[in-house]
Amino acid sequence: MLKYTLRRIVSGTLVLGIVSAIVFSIFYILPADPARLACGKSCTPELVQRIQVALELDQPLAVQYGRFIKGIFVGRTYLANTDAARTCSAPCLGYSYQTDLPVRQLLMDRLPATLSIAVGASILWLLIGLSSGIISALRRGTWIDRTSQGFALAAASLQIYFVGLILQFIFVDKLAWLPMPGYSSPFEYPLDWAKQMVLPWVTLAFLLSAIYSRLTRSGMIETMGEDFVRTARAKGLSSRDVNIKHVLRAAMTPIVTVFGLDLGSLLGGAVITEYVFNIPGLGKLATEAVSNLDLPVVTGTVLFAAFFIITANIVVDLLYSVLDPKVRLT
Amino acid sequence: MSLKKKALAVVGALALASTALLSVNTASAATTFTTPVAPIKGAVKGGTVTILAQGDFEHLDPARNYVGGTLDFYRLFTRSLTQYRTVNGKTDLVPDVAADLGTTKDAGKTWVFKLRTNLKYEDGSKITCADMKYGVMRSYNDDILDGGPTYAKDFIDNPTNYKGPYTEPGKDLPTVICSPKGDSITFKLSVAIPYFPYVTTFGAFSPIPKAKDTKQNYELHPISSGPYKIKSYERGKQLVLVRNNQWDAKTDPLRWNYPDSYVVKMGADQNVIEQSLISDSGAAKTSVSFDTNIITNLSKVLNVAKYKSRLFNFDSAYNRYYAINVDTVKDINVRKAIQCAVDFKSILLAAGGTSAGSYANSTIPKSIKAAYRNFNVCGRDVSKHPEAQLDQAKAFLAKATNPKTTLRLAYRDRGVEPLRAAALEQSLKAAGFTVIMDKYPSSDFYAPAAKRGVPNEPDIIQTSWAFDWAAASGIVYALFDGRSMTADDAKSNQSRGNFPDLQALFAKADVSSTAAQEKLLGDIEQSLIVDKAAHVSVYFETSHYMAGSKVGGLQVDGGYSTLSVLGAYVKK
Amino acid sequence: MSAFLEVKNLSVVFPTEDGRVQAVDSLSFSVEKGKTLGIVGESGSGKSVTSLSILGLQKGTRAEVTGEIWVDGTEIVSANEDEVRKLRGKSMAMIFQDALAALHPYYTVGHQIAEAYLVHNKVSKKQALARAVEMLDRVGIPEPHKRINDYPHQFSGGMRQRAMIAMALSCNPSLLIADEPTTALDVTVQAQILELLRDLQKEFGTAIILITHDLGVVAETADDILLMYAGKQIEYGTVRDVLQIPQHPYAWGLLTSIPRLTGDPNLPLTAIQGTPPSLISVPSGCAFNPRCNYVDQVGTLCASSVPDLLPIAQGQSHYVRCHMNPALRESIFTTQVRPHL
Repeated sequence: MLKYTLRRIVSGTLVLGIVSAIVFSIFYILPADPARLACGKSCTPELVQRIQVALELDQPLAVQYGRFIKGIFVGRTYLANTDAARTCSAPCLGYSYQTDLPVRQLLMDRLPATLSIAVGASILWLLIGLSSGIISALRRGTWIDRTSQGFALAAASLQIYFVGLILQFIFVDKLAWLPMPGYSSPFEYPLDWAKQMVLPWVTLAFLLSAIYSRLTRSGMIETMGEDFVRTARAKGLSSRDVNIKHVLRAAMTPIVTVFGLDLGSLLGGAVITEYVFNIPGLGKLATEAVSNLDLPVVTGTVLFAAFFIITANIVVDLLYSVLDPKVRLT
Repeated sequence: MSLKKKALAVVGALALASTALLSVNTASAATTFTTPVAPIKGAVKGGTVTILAQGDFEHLDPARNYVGGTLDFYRLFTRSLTQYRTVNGKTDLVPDVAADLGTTKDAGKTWVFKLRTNLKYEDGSKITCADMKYGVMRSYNDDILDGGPTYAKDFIDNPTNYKGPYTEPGKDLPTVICSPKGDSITFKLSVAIPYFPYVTTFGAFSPIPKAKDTKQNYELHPISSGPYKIKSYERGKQLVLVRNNQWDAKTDPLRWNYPDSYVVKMGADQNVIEQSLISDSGAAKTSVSFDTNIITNLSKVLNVAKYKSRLFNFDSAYNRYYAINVDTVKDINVRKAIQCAVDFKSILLAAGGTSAGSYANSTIPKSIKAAYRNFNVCGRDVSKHPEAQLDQAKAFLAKATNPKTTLRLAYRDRGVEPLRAAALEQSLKAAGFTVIMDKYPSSDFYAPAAKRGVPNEPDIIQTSWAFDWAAASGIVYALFDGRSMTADDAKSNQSRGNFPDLQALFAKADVSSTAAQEKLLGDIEQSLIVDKAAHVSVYFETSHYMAGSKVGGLQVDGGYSTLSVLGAYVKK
Repeated sequence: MSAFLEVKNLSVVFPTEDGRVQAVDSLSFSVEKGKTLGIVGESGSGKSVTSLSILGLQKGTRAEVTGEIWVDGTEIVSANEDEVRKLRGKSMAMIFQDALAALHPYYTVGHQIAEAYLVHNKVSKKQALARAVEMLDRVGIPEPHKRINDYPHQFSGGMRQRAMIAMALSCNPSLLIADEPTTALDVTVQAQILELLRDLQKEFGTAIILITHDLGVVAETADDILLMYAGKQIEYGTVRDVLQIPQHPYAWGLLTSIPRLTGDPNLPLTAIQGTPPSLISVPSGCAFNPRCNYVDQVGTLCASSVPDLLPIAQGQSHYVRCHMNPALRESIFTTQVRPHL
């Protein structure tokens, strides 16, 4: 298990390296001059030159990439041996062309908002998705099942920007029950934080719980036909125990897998949700950085997102071995 | 949102004789303005006001600050020779470091300001006349201290070709003179500038202790002379101001000091700030933004009762107008036809409709009462009848003896400017013109559009102006004075007007008292628009700023046409 | 006294999209404590449906169950789920055919046995686990205190079946239904398992229903035999009677298809012709008539009417469902069947 985990971490790191190399190359071949972008409004050719040197853009791509990777692991110093030397400690992701702030700091500043969305929404969609899926499975064929599954089908085919804007129009603009979505610190203003997060949570949960509801329902129904469920009933277990301890337990495993991956990709930035609700999270940072061609920030957000997805993958696989004793990690 | 624009072109042609000693504010005795400003009703001390900003300040160095909102904000820690004071919607020019509004015995060529002698910096040291002079001198090093207005360098006589203290460390600027006692400062200008006390509101006329000058890094911690000082400043992230105990309210005629601190949080984007302020949640309750006009969500908040007390709608200093090139459109009837063909309504609609701006007959705003004239354009009140007057346009065109029906329209490729140009193109076509659309890159527009006698010289220039000081002198001299042009460069006089009758009025204005000058400048603008048909002002951009429900004391500053945080307080 | 299990006129119908399927039709039998009933039939003959009905596991499904099932004085068909649930596992337990599928893959064997014990006994989890060890030991699992922590996939096939038995017997049920308990196992293990069942029955006096398609297993283990075909019982009697003097042509077919050490190796094995009927389209009359070699003996009767279940003679407890009269059956058996046995 330990060996397996270590191996997965190493291969995950390699994937991150490949991802960063791809992002790096894409931006290098783009017809955009980072130095010109970083230069700002009152720009002169001399200033561009200075910035090129300062950002080490005068170096070949391989050298730039090598220094970038080095920066991540051991830190790096820009313009070493000059008056303008500036040290960026590991893990160094460089400085934003747009704001000149360390990319790591930008990511950390934006993480809490994304974390708030991802964690809150996932709790909500698990609650709604699992419970409606379970009820549907147990009441298969009844009006409750048909209603909830019809609803789930409709919800799953809607889009965040559509649902989000409709909900915002109704609950913020018309009824004024909720404030404009946004991010307040949950430690300083817990109530405001929750109120502002309600719409992003509900919107994301609305769509994802539909998927989880269908997953849960089909998983449960499939499991109900299994011999071991019949065995459980033959033992004299109450139907509650049969459904939860035996049916749900077996049906949960694939759901946990999907959930881990969903959560992982959300943590990398709930891009559309953050964009629709203007929440200053990682997804919003990524879209801003892309539109500004802010290469270090784009690279940083992509790597960060990849990091979460890869981590989620590893965690899910490790968890799988815990959930399913038949799976042995070697 | 920026007030920033080109500095005035060299105003050498303004040099003229003087008559009498001028006092800028004729109505009020200087003593009125040296006493502290009255408290804001209901305001309480304490708390933190948060300012939400999309990005960092371009420059907090007084010499480099040239952005509307920042010019208001930096007064919290920067005093200048003169400054604006806005109380209850009325704005006056007041002496700040100065003890009076300046006196001149030669019609504006030499200015003497008495100085307050009891002012201190944040470290307790005295603010001296030498510091004021040093502040002016370092602004000459605008190669290093770039970005700011260059008025000091432009206006002050420079017989020794002084280049600034960084370039020429030992050298003096002999045309700025401190009295032996250090209680007054004298400026010898290269030409008479009757409105010079307005110019001294800029940061080049702020005290800088030479020993603390860190050149281009000075903006990281400008030494405070105001009620607040910089506690911490992380560029691009956050600026924290705390009380400056060395500042004495009794010496300050314009500043309040209610919150214990101001925190500027930088780095959220337009929409995030808009929503945050609208939501009024968490820290947003005590927040305000002066760099974020409510745009995306405007329709949701405008005229909605619950936002009314938090939404500040007012005309910005920005006037959008069309200059009609009198060099190329020589026939007055063609110009009048153009003027009548301008469809104010569709142009403003292209910019966002009546919530985005208010129709204006004049580029001098109504708030400059001494100069503003309520004249008609193409025979109608444009605020009531903003539509194009096509019949009249066609009638004028028919009357033209030198008809020119193909017009080249110059505009900049930025924001809604192409949309506005397209709107004008439509109505010009409807009036019978053929229009050549001439789009210039955003970064290179003003100078090429001002080139005279070149092929493809534009006939109509779509442009804008924001006054640098709240007086007609900050507008009319820059935009309509033919003396500023050269044979191949119209400078900022994009309509290329150089009419003898109007130039005579300029000559008269040069030597008049402020009040009389403002009146004459109003006459000039009216004539240029109504009689010469060389200019069409279309609208003033409307600003929509928002504040959290717990912030009080905000007001529109008449000096910078921005939402001022000077009187902000946190409601209990 | 009445038997521990008494089934009277049990019928089970499944409404399906293709029509009503009569899986079990008017079944009656009884099993006493300490005795073993072998229910024999091909796939789809209704053996498993019958056993599930006895456990009341068809409650809450679409199956329509009629008739009476008396278990230790409780009538299962009309009882509510809760009453039956209390009997399940405790008074009656079941061993399923495929132990790998019938055990939950995510729980340890010990946990699953303990769970069965916990449902019906007010004991601590620890005590229940101790019981699991005891039961595993009883069914012959070596080092049971270690093996309780194993998952089903870590057990061999025979051990899994033993574990199933341990689970079923953990509450000392009076009735044990074993549904093809040895089908998936190799022959030596099969014998061990049957041996184990016999021993346990002796020890606890359990009534056993052994469901199988293998007459050999029944011959070794059962006291009575119930032969099922297309949902109906076609022959019912003691092992001795049914195997010695089988009455139904189907029984003859089954018996002659078994290879014997004592048989003439030169004679070919005779398989029953045709295939078991689909329950959706059961042949009219005697369901076996399309496959029966003796239909001609009674004219068109076989295809037109269903024969009644009758004792082979007055007062006999050997029942058969066949249109042929006893004398005719005896003569055919004697002349055509016995030589092949």
